[in-house]
Amino acid sequence: MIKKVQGNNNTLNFGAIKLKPLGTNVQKVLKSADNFSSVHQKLILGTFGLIVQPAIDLRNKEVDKDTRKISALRSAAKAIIGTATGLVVRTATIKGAELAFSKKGSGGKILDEQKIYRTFKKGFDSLKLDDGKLSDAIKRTPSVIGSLVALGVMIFTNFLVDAPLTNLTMEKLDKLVPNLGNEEKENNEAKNG
Amino acid sequence: MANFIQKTVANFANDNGKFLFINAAIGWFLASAAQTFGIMTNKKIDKEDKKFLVPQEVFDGLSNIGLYAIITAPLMNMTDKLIDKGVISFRNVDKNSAEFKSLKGGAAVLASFVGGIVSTNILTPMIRNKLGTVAQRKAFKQKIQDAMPTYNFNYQPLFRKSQDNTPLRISNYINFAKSKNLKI
Repeated sequence: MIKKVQGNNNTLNFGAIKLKPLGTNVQKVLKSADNFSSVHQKLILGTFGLIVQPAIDLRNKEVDKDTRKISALRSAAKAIIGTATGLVVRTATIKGAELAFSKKGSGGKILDEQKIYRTFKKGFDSLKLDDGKLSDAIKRTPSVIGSLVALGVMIFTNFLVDAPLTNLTMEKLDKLVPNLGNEEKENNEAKNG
Repeated sequence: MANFIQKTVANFANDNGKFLFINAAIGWFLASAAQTFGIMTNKKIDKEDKKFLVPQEVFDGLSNIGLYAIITAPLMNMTDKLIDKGVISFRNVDKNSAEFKSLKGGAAVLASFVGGIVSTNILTPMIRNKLGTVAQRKAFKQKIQDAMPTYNFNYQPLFRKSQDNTPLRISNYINFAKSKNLKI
């Protein structure tokens, strides 16, 4: 996997380490990732948050069992509600931006790249991009605009939707897993039948 | 203002990794502010739990953004450098091609995701739990001090006799009073 590059006089040059070149499959993933939007970001980070954070909170031995449980339920509720509302808001705003910059095409609505370029001409021209990079940047613009608008919307949804729904979800989760973090009690109940 | 907006949007559209980095940081700030407000206004969480959860939430927000910046930005820069120096390379891709730039951009985005997972999903919960515990213990210590019983001098002769003239300690006095069912 790691190849050491030899110097001119057949001595090993430890300063020049090269990994094996990445193949087609990895390249496909990287090309997709270059076009990931804030929706993908929210989904990936939110999913990992839901899996990992409550587990860390349940293992926090520095607080009592009840606080541990509340903390874990809260982390799970935040991950669920934060990810759900984040995905909904971002998807809606990005779709809205794509519609605003679309035109009628042969197969339905398509992105109007000329319109996007004209709208942000000064910005794109200042970057002095080559044609390929410019085209990629233009295609990503609705996603950027949608994500920025989503941040503005989330100023309100965080307070009006996220916070109350997180509290409600905590209560629901508490009823679903009443003995969360209380493994000793569960083990005793199992032993006593 | 219009120039600023145009340049900002164009820059973000060109550099997806940088955009996602900034977008995440702003998002966490807003989320943390709202969640802290939510805990404080939730009447169903009792005061003792709030003393842990409010500091935990504040530290959560601060450490999310701080750690995200400290870990993710260098990770993204390091990925760029490793690709530029050829340590990470791509089979059958010309270094000067648009395809290479797209692959480099994608690597930066994935690096930002890895940085985000490590910083905000692993390190932040561990650190904010520790800091929240410290804040909770301080609050409890104050509560214990406020609840300290007053020393009743009528019990002193009995207490002194039971202690065999060893130095008086308030904890021993409390235990002594409880064992004799004396009102403190």
